[in-house]
Amino acid sequence: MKKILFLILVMMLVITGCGGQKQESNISNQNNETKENNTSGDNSDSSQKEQTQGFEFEYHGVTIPMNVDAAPILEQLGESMDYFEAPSCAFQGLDKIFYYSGFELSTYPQGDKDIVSSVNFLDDTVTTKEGLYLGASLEEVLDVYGNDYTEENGFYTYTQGDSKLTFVVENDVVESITYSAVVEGVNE
Amino acid sequence: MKKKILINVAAICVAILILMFIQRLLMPKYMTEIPEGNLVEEYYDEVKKHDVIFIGDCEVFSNVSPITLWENYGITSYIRGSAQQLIWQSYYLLEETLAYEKPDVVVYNVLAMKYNEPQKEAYNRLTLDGMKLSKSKIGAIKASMMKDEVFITYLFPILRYHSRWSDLTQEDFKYVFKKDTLSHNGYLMRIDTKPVHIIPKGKKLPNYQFGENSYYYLEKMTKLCKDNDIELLLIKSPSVYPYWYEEWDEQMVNFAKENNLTYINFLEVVDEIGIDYSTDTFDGGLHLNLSGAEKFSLYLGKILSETFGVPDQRDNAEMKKIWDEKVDFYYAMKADQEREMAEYGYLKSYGAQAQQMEAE
Repeated sequence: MKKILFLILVMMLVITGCGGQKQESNISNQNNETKENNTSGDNSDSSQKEQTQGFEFEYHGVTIPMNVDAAPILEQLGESMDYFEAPSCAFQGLDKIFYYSGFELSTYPQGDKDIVSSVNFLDDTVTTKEGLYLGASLEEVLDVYGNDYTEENGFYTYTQGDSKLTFVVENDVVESITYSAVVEGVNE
Repeated sequence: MKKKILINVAAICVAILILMFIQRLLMPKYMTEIPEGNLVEEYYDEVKKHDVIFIGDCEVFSNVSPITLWENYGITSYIRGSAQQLIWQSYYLLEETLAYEKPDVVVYNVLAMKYNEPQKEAYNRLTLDGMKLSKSKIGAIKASMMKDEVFITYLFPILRYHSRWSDLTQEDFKYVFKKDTLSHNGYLMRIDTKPVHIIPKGKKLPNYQFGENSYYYLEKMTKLCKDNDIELLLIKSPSVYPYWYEEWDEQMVNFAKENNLTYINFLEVVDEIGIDYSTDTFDGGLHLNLSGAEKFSLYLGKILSETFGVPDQRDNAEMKKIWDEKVDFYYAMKADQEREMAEYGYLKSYGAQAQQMEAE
């Protein structure tokens, strides 16, 4: 009897104690792990910026970093021209796309928040913070962003912090510009 | 001495039983949230006599109704689908299925060809945790694990879920020994409607070529079917999002041609099927609702029946008895969903989206 009690006690200790720091425990909440620190507490634009250290897109004075809570950004941007949402195969929450003049902003769900996953340029009315636009030349891209890129079939990708900035170049002309978050399972 | 040995053996047995109970208690039940998590496991309770087996991701478990196939063509079928089922998981699920039964036709939805590597532990769990321990499960685990995952946590999920002890809910206790059946032979029913409003354009990709790993498992699947004298039908289900690129379609056309298989992209025949994306989808075009799934199944059933010669089993008394019960369950769930729609304006008890709406 004593042995049984001892075994049970050991098992309970193993089960409750071996985790140490509490791991994410529910499959449905696993997305919550990635950037909780970025999105909790002060949601102001400036505090989010300090934490990301990645690429940022600016539109009419609104700074849009990747991997931050989209709510304050969307509030500043105002109502989008169009909107698309896509529930994932399994997880609660929705991947969302907000269409604005010249670009689309995508988000992914994390707990009860929507996190910025990408900004994709739709036309040449918008530019990167450094002045690059659809229709610019490859030479201009390299002049502005340098040579620290990876290239695959005309996709020039720069990585900074937890974000990427990708230029799709065809015949030396930039055909597509996308900011994206580097997060497991997102933008892949 | 003998008594001492017996006591020790008893102590070990009790400890194992308690551990098994705790493991069951701690594992997510997927009853009221993420019902997709139950699909793989539900198959084991089935009478395994199916002429058609579907494998793939949500584009099969949301879009194909085995009951419609039965009612209209007498086709007995089962969907071994799961959320974001990757092709190596499809292969091992098929391998496992063939250990139980030998269908005439296997239908594989090719969307997952776009994933050449494991994507996310959470999705792996939704497919792998439900599998019974077997050589196939071990193969599936090894092929699916992300870099930072630990193999043993799939064999002993208590090592993965131990920290859930403080998050246990009533559901965990209620379904610790027996879960409700949520699907209709692997089909997850949704009767609500959310029309297609906008379809995002497919973003340019640096490389449209499906990966070597994807092809490796597609070839293995093809060989597995040929070795077992089973027809393999490759399909692209008529979901309008995620975007299905022409370059991808071409590769599937070529693969089918080279391997003497049939590949059908049903996005090309949506008008013929009669799918109306303003009424036949519950989430803006990703998945079909019941109305859409029945239309698609009606169309697909004709192909299975006429082109592949899948037999009509409606005169088989044993099959009829089994399927009559399934049909009753199907229409009972349909009626219950209609009641919820009338009462609440949305599906309160079915699907993750309904849960979210309720929370709001």
